Amino acid sequence: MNPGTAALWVTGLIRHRSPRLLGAAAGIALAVSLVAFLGAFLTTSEATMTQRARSAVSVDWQVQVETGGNVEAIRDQLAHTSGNAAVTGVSLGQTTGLSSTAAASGSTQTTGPGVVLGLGPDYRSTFPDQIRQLAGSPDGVQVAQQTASNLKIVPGDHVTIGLAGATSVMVTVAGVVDLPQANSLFQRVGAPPQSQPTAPPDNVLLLPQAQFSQAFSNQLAQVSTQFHIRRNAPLPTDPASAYTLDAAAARNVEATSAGTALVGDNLGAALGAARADAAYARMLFLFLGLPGVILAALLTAAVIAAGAERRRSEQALLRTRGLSRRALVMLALAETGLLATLGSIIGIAVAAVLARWVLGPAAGANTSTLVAWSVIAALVGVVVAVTTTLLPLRRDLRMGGVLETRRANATGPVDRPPWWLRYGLDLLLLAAAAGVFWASSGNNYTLVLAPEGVPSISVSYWAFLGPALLWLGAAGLLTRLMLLGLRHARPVLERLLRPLAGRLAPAGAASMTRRRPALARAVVLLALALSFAASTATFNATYAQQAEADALLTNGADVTVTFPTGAQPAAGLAQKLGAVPGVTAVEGVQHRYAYVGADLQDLYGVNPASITTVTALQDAYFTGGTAAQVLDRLRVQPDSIIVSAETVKDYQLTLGDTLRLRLPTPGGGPATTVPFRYAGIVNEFPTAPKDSFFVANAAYIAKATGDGSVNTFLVNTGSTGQPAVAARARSLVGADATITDITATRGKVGSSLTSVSLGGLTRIELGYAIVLSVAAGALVLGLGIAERRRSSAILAVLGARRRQLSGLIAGEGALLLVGGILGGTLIGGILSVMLVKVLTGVFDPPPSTMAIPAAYLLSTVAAVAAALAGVALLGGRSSAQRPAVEELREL
Amino acid sequence: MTSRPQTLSPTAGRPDLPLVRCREATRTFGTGTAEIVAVSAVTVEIAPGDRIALIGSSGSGKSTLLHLLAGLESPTSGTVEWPALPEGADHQRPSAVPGIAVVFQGPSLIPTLDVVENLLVPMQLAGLPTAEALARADDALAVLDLTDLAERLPDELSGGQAQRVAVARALAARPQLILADEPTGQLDTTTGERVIDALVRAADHTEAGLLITTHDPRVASRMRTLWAMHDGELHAVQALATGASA
Repeated sequence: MNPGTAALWVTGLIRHRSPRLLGAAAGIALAVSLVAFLGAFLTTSEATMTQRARSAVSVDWQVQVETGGNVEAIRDQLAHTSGNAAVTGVSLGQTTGLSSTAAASGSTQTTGPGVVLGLGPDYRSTFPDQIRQLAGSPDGVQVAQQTASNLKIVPGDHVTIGLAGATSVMVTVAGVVDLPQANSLFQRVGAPPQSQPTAPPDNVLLLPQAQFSQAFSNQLAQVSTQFHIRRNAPLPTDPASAYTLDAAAARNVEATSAGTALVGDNLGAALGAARADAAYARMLFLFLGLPGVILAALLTAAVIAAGAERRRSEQALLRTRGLSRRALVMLALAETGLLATLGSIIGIAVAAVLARWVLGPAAGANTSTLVAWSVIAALVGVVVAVTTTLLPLRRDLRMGGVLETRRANATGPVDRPPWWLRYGLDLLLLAAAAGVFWASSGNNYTLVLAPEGVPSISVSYWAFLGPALLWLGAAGLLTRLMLLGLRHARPVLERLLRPLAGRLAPAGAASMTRRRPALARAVVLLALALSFAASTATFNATYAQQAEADALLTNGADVTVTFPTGAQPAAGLAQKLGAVPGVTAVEGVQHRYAYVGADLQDLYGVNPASITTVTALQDAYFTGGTAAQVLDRLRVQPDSIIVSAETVKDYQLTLGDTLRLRLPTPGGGPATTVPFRYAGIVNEFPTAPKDSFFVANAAYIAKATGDGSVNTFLVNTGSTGQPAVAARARSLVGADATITDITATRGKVGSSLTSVSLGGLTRIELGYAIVLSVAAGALVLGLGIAERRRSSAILAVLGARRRQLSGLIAGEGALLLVGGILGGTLIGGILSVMLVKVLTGVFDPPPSTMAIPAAYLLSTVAAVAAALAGVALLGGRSSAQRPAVEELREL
Repeated sequence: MTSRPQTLSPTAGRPDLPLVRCREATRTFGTGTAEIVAVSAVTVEIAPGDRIALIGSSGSGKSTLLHLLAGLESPTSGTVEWPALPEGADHQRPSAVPGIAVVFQGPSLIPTLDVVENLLVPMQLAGLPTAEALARADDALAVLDLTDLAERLPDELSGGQAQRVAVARALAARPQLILADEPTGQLDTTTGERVIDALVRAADHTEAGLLITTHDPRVASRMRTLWAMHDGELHAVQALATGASA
């Protein structure tokens, strides 16, 4: 066949079948644009994760000089290692304890063992995020905030550093500092995670290097040296590749130093977490994006199938005129090529606009990866076009002659159910889905496994099977139910149609019963689209709920006012804060310290009856009971105390055991021993650190210690206007307290997954879900109306009124809507539960309940209903625009 | 057919009124230079019991005139009335005037309804009780020897069978006038003759008038009166020598 014939055919299609072509191309464009956009999102997100991981780390590498190592040789090696932008030495010495005597009272405070750091003059300028000045001068001896609190010292006071086997050294404190990266600063370099200290040392002093060298001149053997390094080696945008590259460089340093230098790879640790998040982002892409692509493909198939009869007739005609099978295939290829090209171009263009809108300039940063994703998206378009155009042709050509093709066009009896229905394939798939879900969501299940130090990460792809099998099985079951219902429910259908179609109801019900395969397919398509919308929206809402819970956990409440431990806020402050416009509730929380054995932990005293008026407590924060149950224990038994799991393990506690804590007196003086009763385990608590801590009844603590003062105020603003309330609070308390609001905290907390523009992704996904749902409903109804133009014309000629014909269309639309909503709700609900469970690693903290986005779901249903009503109205009007006889003449 | 058909027509007591009267009826399509005159100033009447063949070549206006007579379309000028049909003046297009049944050339059965259901549709739309409608449908199928096909779908019927079912649908409605537009146009000779037999039998059964448009002289020869159309104008009206019955 010469190319001119194919070109002629394509031209004819464009001129005479453009609505069908455009409809099919639009379906392909939907699939292509979704793939391309999600690919762009994935690429940009991974780059953002890598960037965020880099900027979150203050000291990229901490290189520990091992015993026997040549410090200068290692310094030289590190200075010449490629990618090391700055190398600064840090000395670490151990102190037996720090003490100071208050000038006014003469009382002496003593701490336990601690750490003294010797820092070079350029350390703070090289690593500005390591040390935050709280008080005093940055030049000279600095004392950590907790240490200053323990010793009750201020800048200008003297501190004595106890040295084992040597004379103590007295220094003058110039400033008080906070060490935001204390966990990594005091890590045990080279030790596995389980051997790391559970908390940084409580007693820390920072000396200028010269002063440190002088103080530890007789203790050089007990001094260890680290080199803190800032890296500027270019890293790939993909976190996994960046992690591999960085880890390899670190291992290279260790190998080159023959084991005398151990690298604490802080950057690698951050990239390792980011690569796990990147893997989860890819999972989100697959779980949430792939169903949308499949739906778009099904819609395209529906559009193309609508013209199948005419296409078969055309092909039959061409074959009677001598066109070979090969030539027919060439013509179909031409049509496929046209659809794929048109759909891909439109889809990629739409994706580019969406990516620019959601992701901003960052969308175009990694051009090569974006091009790759565009190619993948275009290939998806080709696959959809081939599947929906060429495969049906192949099936038709296998039939043989023209007569068989004619018979295939006949509606035929519908009594024989499809083969998969007869063998119960839908029920088997659902059973398999339940089995896979049960197996993949067990206690030790992890979707993404990214062990530290291991270059590759493992993803449990088979967990996808559960939702995929559920989708297929549920679609099959819904088809079964629709076929069954429509087959046996003709009298019910007739009764339901009568108010709409009047005397046409019996014919309408009979017709719908006979068209049950097509109606079932339409209902299932709409149900799947609505379930996609429901599950995506529910997952995204739950994700947002947990991200907010995480921010609330960190910040404590909408606004938090925190005074230093031991400080006495002004009387009546709670009432003043409560009077600030926008504040709905204020709750004071005691924050003190308590010794259990030699271990100093944070102690939070709360009012269990009212704490939840200002903050949300998730069940996941506690073990052995829900949040409500634990608070009830604190309320009913005031001497109850809930402790960290590590404390239970360290002290072998069982429920009901008495735990005696020594509570230092904030104003000075001997500590008070207070007995508590162990009542449960707390994993997390608003404002509490990640270390071990206690939560107890504030009234009991006040009674036992004689001190009921609170130094933390949690303020509820009803989730709005937090910055304004924080500003007003600042004007009330001045510089005496730290005031934080949740809007600032949101940007800092959470995994790198939350740092990406999930809000934008959510908008796009939910937008696609609405478009797919509306298209599924309107398209199948519209195509059905178009297919039945001849029947409608015949009925009109036989005496059917326009209102009756419109009533038939409305009845079908109502069946579609009700069936779609019921099916979509059921499938979407189960799918949501499954997705939240399978993707549980994405959430921090894990949700105890799902968030149901009622407004979005109602909007989607309303949009679908409006689209169906619009199509029904248009269908009714168009059938009345010209005499029925003209329709019959044309058809 | 040998038995005398039952007299069922409501105009049996008033045979003087024509079923349809067409005066200077004209039907045009389009405007200006694109205007097409499909029917031009036709004046005719059809009485109960008439057997009329309307012949003419393709595009002569036969179908359009039939549509005007059925009330499916309105004349651009002139009048079309149905004096013997009480609902003719108030009927709503696009449906035919109640009492008139139309048999089309092409497939006119609803593909998703079986034969009986197709027959029931016009009677249900007219408000006939289901039991009576079913009885009429059974009668119509019996008259035309189609009882065995009662539960078949249109796609399971041959072209001839489908046309005979369309005739049965017309018969079941007990019309006073049957208008058939090229009912044998897509059928072979033998099948076409069977369809004409069915039409004549249906008309005889209810003493209805019958008008068949055709360009087949053999079909025309079965009727008693011949109308000839050319370029939208009715040129000749003549009685034929024989008007055969079934």
